[in-house]
Amino acid sequence: MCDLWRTTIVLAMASTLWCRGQEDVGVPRDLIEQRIEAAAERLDNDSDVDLTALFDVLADRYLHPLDLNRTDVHALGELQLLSTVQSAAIVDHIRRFGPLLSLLELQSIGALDLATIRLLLPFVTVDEAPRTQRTPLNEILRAGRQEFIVRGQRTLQERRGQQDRRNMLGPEYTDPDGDALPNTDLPAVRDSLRVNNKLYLGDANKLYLRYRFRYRTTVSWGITAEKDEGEQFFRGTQKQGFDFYSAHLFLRDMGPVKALALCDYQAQFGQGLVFWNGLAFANKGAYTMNLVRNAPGLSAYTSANEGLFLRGAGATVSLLQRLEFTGFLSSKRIDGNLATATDDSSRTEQVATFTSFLEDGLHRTYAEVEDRHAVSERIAGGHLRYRQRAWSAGATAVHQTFGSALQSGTEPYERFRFAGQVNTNMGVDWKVLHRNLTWFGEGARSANGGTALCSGLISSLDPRVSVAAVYRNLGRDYHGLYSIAFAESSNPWNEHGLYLGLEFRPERRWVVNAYFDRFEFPWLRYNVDAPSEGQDALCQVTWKPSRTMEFYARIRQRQMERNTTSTTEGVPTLQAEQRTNYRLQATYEIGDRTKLRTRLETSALEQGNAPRRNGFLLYQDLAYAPPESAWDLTLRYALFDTDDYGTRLYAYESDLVGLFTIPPYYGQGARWYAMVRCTPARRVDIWLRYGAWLFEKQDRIGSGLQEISGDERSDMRVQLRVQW
Amino acid sequence: MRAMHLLAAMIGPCALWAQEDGAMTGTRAAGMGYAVLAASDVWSARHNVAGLAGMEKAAASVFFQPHFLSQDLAHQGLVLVLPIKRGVLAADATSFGFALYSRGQVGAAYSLCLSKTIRAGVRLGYQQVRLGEGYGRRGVPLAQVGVQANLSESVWAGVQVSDPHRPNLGAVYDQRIPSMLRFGLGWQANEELLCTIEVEKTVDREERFRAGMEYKPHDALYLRMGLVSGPATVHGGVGLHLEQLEVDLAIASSTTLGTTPQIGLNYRFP
Repeated sequence: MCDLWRTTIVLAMASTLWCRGQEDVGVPRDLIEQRIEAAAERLDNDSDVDLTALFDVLADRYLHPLDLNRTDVHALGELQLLSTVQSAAIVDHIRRFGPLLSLLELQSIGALDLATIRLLLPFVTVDEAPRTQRTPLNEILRAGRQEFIVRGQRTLQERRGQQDRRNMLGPEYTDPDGDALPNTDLPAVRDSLRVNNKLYLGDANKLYLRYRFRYRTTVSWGITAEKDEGEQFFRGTQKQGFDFYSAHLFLRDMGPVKALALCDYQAQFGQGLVFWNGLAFANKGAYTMNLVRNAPGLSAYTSANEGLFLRGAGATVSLLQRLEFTGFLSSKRIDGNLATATDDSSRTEQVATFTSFLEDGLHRTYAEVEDRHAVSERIAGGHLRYRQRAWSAGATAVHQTFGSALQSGTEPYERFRFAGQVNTNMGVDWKVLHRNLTWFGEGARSANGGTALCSGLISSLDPRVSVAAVYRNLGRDYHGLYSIAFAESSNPWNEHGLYLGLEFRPERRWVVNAYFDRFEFPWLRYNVDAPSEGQDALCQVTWKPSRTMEFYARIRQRQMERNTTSTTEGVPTLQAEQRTNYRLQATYEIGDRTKLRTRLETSALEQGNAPRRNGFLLYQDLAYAPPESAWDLTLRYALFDTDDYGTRLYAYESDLVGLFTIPPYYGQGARWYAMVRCTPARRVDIWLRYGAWLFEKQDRIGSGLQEISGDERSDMRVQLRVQW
Repeated sequence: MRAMHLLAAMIGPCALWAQEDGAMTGTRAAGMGYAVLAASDVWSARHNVAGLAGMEKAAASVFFQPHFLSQDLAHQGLVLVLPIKRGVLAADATSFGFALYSRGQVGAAYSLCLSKTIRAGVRLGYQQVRLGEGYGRRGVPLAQVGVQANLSESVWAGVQVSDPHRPNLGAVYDQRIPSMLRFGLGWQANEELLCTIEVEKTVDREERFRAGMEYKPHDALYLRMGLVSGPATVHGGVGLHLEQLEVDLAIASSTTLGTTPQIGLNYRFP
């Protein structure tokens, strides 16, 4: 058995090496996408996320694998392929038995199963000679890789906000209630509608452009530009062309300067309580041991999200052998709702305040354009990190200044929210490895005195059993405007909870993941007019009978408290709300070219004494990729039937490379999409994707200006990528 | 009539408490969410009487547990275990309550190994309930039968039936002690780690699931964790083993009711 297994590994390695030889430009198709998909599944219920950064990390590591003998837990964590227990086990193994002689040695580490080793292999090595310190510029330019991507997206049905335009690709908008539409052919009518924000200014196309140059992991520069649906392009309010431009220059490992970022970049420190911009993978999910954040510090910004980045400069400098300092400055304008308040009737002094952060980056109407870049935002911060092999500790301080004062709402639940122009967050974070135990955490404080703490333990008690506990206490008055905490709520404040996680591998082919999380919200929340509490539990059993088959069953149950729907006079009362999801999924391959996936999921929502509402989703995926062929095909057909939006179900969808979609499925209907990818020339890839939602018994989809008449919504996406 | 309703509301949970008194004893078990049906320790006399047969030395244990940190709701107990030529004997006593409401339970148990892989035991007990202000006290006999089986080198299964004879407290109480059936598994993953799960059904109450874990990072130190469903309760505990003396601490935290600590002392005779 053991021998057979070893042979498999050798074969797997050999095939990987062979692949690497074959495709000198770019990375093999599936290799990274599969892993991204695994990572995206962890995000679970966030739609339209931009995972470009993770994609880049993996692509870099594919071309320049991580040397396991010269790495630490931190770098391993960045790959998002290993659990904390697994990366700690590799580092511990090297510490105890010396450098790895071959990747084959990985199999002697108990915490690593064959599937994980397979995931990891393409991105790591053990024999790379230490890199030379200086590379001349012409070598960088010669050996660097460049990539150019252009992408277009469009919904084929016309939305209410587009009714003044001719729709070449699909049906025009007609009022679902049968009312007559205003005659938008008359310029006066059209202008009046536009002024009153009843029409979008721009066309329905969404465009995206990206250029990037990279030399190993040390040099990167590039620009990204994006225009959203409904935004103008090179005219009117958008004379500069695209609505969003981003550029970056990022350098690594230049003597004592470990990282240097100019223009757009991201900064992530500690466990995210003080400062974390961008997405955080470590959170609750079926990967129950994936709880520790591996903060990369500064990183290049290559995504198109219009809020989650910094603009300015930052650098990481190593001060002593084990001590490094990161400093960064950012100044940009962010979107916000400006309100001009007269603070006294006798004095007509006007105070500019803004009422909310707008992060969607959409500027389709005059009102939205007015909010665009309305507020200046300055951020200055520093992070000091001391790193030993087995432990590290850091301190972070970040100061934020807004050009206008942010107004906190007047609702009781908003009482402790941030208001004003200035905020400072400070905190310390730590990570300690001791034998089979990892202890991590971060404590933070905001300028108003609000505090937040998050700390956890992860331990592998047996090669087959790992357990974790994470405690968090996020003060109701903590102002973490740029924090992403490990929490039930999406806000990093007003929560107190304990998470217990388990991963059990009784046998190589079986994995059981389970967690139980209990939380309290000491202050009111939106739609919850009293302090409340809840719990969340998940159990997933995964069976991988062979390399090409995987089955899992998952149960998740969440209980929360929410305002009662019936309005009783007097004391507001809460009612229990319970959500239960059951999921079955099978993934299997037929031959070496067809991969199938079937998922069945149900959801049930019980609120107080109201009748239970249910949701159901069944889908079939097919991915057909003939080996060494210039094209491949991905298909999905799904039927869903949910009683309402409350019982919606989320499912990850395959999309153009670089784009990630996890839409909610709700209502009654069918969903299908087809995507073709072809490689007409060696360095050129083209993607074409068509997808449609076909609803039953519905005369409109969406609301407001987004409304589409009829029962069908479909969209088309095209992407071209050239690498050289 | 109203008084009767009030009384019913007060003593409603009596019978349930009788069950809680029965199995919810011992600090080691408390740290593991009482998921110890397949384990063997001093308080096996109450958890699963078959487990007693695993005791090789005489031992004594006491515990004190102020429910939700209230002195009036304190639960305490004592047990003595004595291995004899064939089998193991035990005697136990617990009490709960205050002047106006109290309960107590005493029992005697005997357990033995039927073969290398099967242990069985029986316990006979007596439960007394007293409501103050002239309602008097009532008592009923209790009975438990338990079996443990070694399924493989590292896996034990345990099953226990409690009060199948449905004794009635009678008089104003007019309530039966409900029958209960529990089934559990214990897996000794390695020398340091014990994992347990079990399901419990009391005839008139929703089923409960329990999971527990005990880890020994050092010869003298035990760390415990447990989880019980509906209503969810999280348990945790620490044990210190100093020669013959064992000191255990446990804590249970439930969503609505709050936190209950517990301390226990075990002494193993040399």
